[in-house]
Amino acid sequence: MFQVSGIVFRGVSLPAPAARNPEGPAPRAWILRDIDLEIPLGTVFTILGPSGSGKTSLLRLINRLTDPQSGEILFAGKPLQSFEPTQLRRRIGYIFQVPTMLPGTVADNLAYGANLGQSGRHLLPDRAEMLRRLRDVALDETYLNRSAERLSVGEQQRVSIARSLMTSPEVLLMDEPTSALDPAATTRLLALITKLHERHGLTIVFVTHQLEQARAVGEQTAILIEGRIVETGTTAEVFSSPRQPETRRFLEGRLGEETESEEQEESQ
Amino acid sequence: MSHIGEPVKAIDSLDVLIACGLIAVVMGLSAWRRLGLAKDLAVGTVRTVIQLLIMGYVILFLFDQNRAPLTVAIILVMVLFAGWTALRKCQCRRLEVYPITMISIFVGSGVTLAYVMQLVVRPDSWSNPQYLIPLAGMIVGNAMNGTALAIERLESEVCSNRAAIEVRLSLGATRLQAAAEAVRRAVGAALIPPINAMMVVGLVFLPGMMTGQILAGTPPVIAARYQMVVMLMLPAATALSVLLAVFFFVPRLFTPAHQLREEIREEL
Repeated sequence: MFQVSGIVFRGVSLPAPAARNPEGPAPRAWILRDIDLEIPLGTVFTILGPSGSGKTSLLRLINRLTDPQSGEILFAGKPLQSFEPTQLRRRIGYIFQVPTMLPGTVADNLAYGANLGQSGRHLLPDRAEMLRRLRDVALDETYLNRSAERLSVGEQQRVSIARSLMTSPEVLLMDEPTSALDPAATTRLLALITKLHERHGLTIVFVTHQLEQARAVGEQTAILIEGRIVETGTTAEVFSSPRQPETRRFLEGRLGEETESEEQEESQ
Repeated sequence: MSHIGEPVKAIDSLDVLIACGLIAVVMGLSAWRRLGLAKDLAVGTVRTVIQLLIMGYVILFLFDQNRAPLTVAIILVMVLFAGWTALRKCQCRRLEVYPITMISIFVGSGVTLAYVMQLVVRPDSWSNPQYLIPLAGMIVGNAMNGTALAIERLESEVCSNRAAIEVRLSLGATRLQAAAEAVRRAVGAALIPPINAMMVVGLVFLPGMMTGQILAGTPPVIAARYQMVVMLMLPAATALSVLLAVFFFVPRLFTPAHQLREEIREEL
């Protein structure tokens, strides 16, 4: 028996919700099917796949925003179910595709997670800690008292990363964090992700449908197509010598021909 | 030469029939302007007459019998109907939520009723139907309206704010913490009507009970004092019932693992 650390999927399946399966010819019954995957701690791990392939659903399983129907997911050698969900989510942060700011200032947003542990009391948040986290995402202290909802989307996404960092997570799950950003903001955010990983040794699971992004940030890559992991390996290997024909077709941009009709899956 | 204390002039069935003429006027207007209200007006009129007729005889019977178990049984029937009616606009499965609204209305109304009967009105017998039935009717009715508003509002708040709620969950909030803001809004919405009523009572409208007492010959100052007690007990009954209902209803929107339920996530 070899030692497993990191995040391990064993035979994980997730059915499509009933609401999304209206009668129709051959409705797709599974979002994720028999997923086996090992995400080592301390890496930047990319999950790459076309829209509707189940990437978001896979990511949500890791911090238990959703539970699979069958199979098992391990974190640090123990099943996810053995952790208290609220504690697990503080150790495994989640960055949503479109940032959502909580009401109030940037400081209120940063303080939210930190205050949760304090038996409901609204304590004064640790200002030094908030500033440190803002610096991590390349924002300065003038942001603290600004209204979070009035920031640009790019700034909001960085605040949402800083907000997650406030709970000192070991893993950060990122669901296409650049999808709402313009090219300049995208470049800055990708650089920031790499820096976060290097500075804090943070494990980052990065979901994207963009080949360039996977190539830019990921040390390892898994290819997810129609709810199945078709290939995993180091990013260099996967891109230069894919073993599966499906991967090859996806990398060459020819996969879309028959799966384009299943776009709605990623939109929440 | 005071009119105070004069017994109320009896009106008979013929007088009620003449009063129906008012509805005939509205029905005429409805037909003329094609408002399509004729059927509802007719049904409403018939129901009003029959339900109040029955209630009149039931109360007469209760007064005759003056037996505590019987009076309490009638109040329980009111609560059973109120719990069901409170869910008229709920998106949820009505039968599953029914115990929540029913028990909340029962406890909220029961505590308030006991307080008013035992500490404020103090009739010779705690079960004197002359006091217990009218007070219970008002309390249960208001608790029902508040509960209905709160459940409906809570459902829609959680649905429309599910992005922010999932952000909170992903930062380690429990389901109650994540729903705290939605709960606050729902409870607030439910308490606005009785609070508004306290603001304008006597200025914009004369409440039914006070009017009734004055008609029946009670000195207006006594009637006013009774009305004060009523105005003060209604927010209490509403708040108690609503808080209980919301507290029990939140877990129905989430799973025990602090996840939004699939139906809520999928709701567009």
